[in-house]
Amino acid sequence: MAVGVNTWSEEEMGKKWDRCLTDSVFKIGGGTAVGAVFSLLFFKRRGWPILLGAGFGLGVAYANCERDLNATVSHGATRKLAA
Amino acid sequence: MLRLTLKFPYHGLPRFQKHGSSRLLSLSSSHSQKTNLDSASKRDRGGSSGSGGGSGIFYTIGVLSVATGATLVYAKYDPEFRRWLNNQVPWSEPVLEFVFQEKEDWNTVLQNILDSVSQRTHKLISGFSSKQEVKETCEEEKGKKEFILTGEREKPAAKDPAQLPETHPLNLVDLEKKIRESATIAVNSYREAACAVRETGLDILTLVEQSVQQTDEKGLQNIKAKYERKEVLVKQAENKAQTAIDNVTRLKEIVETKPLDAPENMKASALRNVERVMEEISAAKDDLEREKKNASMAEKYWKKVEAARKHYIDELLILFPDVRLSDKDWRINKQDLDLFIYYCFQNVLYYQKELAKIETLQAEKLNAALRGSGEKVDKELLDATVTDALERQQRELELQFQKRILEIQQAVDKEMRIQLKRQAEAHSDHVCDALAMREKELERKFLRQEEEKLSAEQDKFKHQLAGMIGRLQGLESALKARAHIDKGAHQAQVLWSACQALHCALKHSQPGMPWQEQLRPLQNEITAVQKAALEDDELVNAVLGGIPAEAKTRGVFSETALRERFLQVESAARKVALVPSEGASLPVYFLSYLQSALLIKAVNPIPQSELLNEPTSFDKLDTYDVLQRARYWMERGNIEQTLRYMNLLSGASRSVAQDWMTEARIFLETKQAATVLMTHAAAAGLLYV
Repeated sequence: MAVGVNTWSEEEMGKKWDRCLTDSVFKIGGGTAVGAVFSLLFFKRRGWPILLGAGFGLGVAYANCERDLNATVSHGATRKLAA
Repeated sequence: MLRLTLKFPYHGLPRFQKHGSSRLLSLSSSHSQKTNLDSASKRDRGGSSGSGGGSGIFYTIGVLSVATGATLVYAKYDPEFRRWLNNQVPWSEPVLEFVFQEKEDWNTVLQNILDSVSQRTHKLISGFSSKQEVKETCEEEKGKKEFILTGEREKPAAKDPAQLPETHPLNLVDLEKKIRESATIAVNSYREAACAVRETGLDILTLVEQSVQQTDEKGLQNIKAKYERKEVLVKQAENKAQTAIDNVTRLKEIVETKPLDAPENMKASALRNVERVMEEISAAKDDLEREKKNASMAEKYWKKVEAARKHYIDELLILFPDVRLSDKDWRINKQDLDLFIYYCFQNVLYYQKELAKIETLQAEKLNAALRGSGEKVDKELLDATVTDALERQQRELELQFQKRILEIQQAVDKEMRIQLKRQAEAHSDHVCDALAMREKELERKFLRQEEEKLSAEQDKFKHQLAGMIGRLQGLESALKARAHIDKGAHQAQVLWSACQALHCALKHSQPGMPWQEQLRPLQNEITAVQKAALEDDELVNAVLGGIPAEAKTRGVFSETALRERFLQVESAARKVALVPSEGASLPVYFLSYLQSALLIKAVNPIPQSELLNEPTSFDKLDTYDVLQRARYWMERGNIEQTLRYMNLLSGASRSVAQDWMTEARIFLETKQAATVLMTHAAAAGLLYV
């Protein structure tokens, strides 16, 4: 299936997980980066803003992932009803 | 003869009422040889006839009559006595015969007498009696002559066997015989002559009377011949008579002069015979003379007529030299014809005048003679006048009759002609009408026949046509039906093939391609099926309408594709088994993933009861059980069961399997449709098997 609109439901989970991962990586990285930046800037190169930032990033990624997955599951359920 | 008529006037029959006695008495008075009884009775009668008469007359008469009656009867009874009586009383034989009607009937005798009397009177008055009477008298007399002679002959014959005389008697007998023969001959010839003379006279008369209208040459010749014959006969008769007389005289000499041995009575009888013969001959001669006299008158009449005719012919010859009366067709020109007619007319007038004169003169003369002669001879003259008058009247009546006849003939002819004409007209009209009617009738009849025949032919033709049309229609319908059937069969085949295509498209995947790319829109197949099916095939239409739209447009995953996909779905569903439908936190996800990794594929077999479709509760099945069962059925290719089990999923597994389930549903629907169509096609095809 080349067309991106119709993704199979069984594949969506996998895709979601993939996205989640990539997203978390980005988030964490970004967070770290931001943290780093902050640490650099604001928090005199302490280590804790990087971790904070990473943590923030992870948390955001986690939340996003969860939300995404749940959305998929509940959408699939409702979809079933519609079909 | 005249004396007889005077003595016995003809008053009818009463003369013969007292037949026996009075006649005999009269007869006996003429004969002297009578018995004593008779003479006595005569005397008695003579004596007693003058007186008033008492019973004596009656007694004598009675006795006489009885005696005569007895004699007669005994004579009839006893022939010997009869003979003796005949010898004694000469006239007894005829009397006997008359009385007992031996020879002739009394009626015939009466008739004869009457006839003879009337004939004689007639002869006296009219010169010429009828031919018939002439003939009768001729033959009659002949017959009589025979009779008398035979009578005479009998007696000498009777005597011959009794005695055989010598030569003299024999000669006598021979002589007698000869005499008799010659006498008969002579008398016969006399009679013949007389007859001939009479006949000629009559012929002449008839000829004259007839030939007023026509001249008959043959008749004349006839008459001439008869006349000659008559002459001959007369001569003959005279000769015969002469010989007879000679014989008679000779016999007489012999008998009287020569001596005889024969008895006296023979001589006497011979003499008597001779006398009788002589008498007969003389009588015949007298007869002949009489006839001659009559004939002479006829001859005179005939001669006069001949003379007149000759005179007439001469005159005609003078007037018309080249004409003969005897020619059948005269060729005279018109003038001569007129002259001839005028001459004939003149003659006719002259003769009429003469006739009238003669008639009147005759009448006058007769009357004068009558008056002169007085009452004495009135009878004869009266009769003559009467006959004369009668003849005159007859002539007048004839003339009148002729005239009347002509008139009537004319009238009748005219009437007949008119009637015939009318009849002819009526007949022609009738015939015309009948013809016209007949024509019409015939025409009608023929027209009708023609129509009938025509209609019959038409009917036949129509019949044939109908037959043919029927056959044609039959053929057509048969062909149509066949075509229909063929079309149906073909169509069924096409339908089946289309359905088969659909089925196959569903069943098999395109080889060499992964399941993701095996979606093929089924539009073609479906349209093919639609085309193959009839327009009004409801089943096909419904079914095809029931096929989901995705199948038509997007296509349907084949069974193998579904199967492959199921594997992935199963694994995905296993991974999120613990996750409920609303979603859960992430750690749950991790947990479910861990569970799926750690759980070994359950070895718990599906209980037999569930497999046998016994009522089971499906509530207590968790995801893994469900998935197991789904897998079980998937392995056996029963996607329907798989779907059923998959439907039992709940939560995140359900949502993961959702697509697959939808796809499986679509597939199943399509497959169902395809199966139905297939069966339908197969059933339709069965019709044409």
